[in-house]
Amino acid sequence: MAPEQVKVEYVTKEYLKKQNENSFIQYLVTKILDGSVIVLEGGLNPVAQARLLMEVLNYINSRFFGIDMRTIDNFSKKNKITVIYPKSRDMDLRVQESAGRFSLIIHVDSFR
Amino acid sequence: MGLLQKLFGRTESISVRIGIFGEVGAGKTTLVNYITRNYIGVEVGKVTGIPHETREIKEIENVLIRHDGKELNITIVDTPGLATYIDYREFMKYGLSEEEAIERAKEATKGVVEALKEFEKVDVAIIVVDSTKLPFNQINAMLIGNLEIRKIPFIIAANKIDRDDAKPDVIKEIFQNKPVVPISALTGENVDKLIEEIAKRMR
Repeated sequence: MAPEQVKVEYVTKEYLKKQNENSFIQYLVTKILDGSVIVLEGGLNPVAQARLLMEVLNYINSRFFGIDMRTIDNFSKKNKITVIYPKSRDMDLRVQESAGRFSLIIHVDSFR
Repeated sequence: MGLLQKLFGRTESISVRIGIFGEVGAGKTTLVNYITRNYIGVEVGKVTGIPHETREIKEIENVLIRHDGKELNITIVDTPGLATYIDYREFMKYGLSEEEAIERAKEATKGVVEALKEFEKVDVAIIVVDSTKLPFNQINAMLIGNLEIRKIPFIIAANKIDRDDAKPDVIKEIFQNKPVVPISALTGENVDKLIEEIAKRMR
């Protein structure tokens, strides 16, 4: 079944800096498996990205395919955003960027 | 080089573990096959065009390469293609049943995890990218980032230059300040230059 709602969670750079890496990865895994879209100010370092991927891949099945990580950095010269979201039968996400703003278009379909 | 080696003019022998990394379908196994065919006379992996054909780490030991007074005793590690998600339905496009496709996706998943663990074990890495496509993706960024953090030397092999739509210059431009060698793993073009670049990094 497709989720009836999609939660988008925004995490600031300051909050991210204060987090213990292990527990933050576990938090991300929980959110992803819950179907949430996570928007990070800045992003995860490459080692944390690999660790997140290793964790998430343990849960792949016929409905949940893993994650997609997108860096959004064209909308602003100073800011970078990373979007992490679950890839599944039920949900897809597209990013549209233009100067000064970006949009996340989340498509939810239970009949796919 | 040791004193005895200097006195008797013997070549210096260096053992090197080379990891071949990259996205699914970049041509990693084709490259490994080309190298092993030419140096030890065997092919090690199957190339079929179906995504995630390599689902387990393959190690090929004792590939001896002599270059510039050095003898490299190479262990080549062919790793499964990296991906952040695996949709089993992709395999069904190649004629696999749903059951087979799900099984293949499970195996591919394990393979990706094994490939990620291999970052910590290699002395040098070759990142194979498909030069007919733009390499802007999280996989390549994550790969390069992980190797740089661990101070593991790497070379980017801009593969498939035998194809008309290959744009190795674009790859070079995108990865400015990184070593990029345009190659064709299929025909072997420039693979010797790639080996030369590896040898240069082994001191």
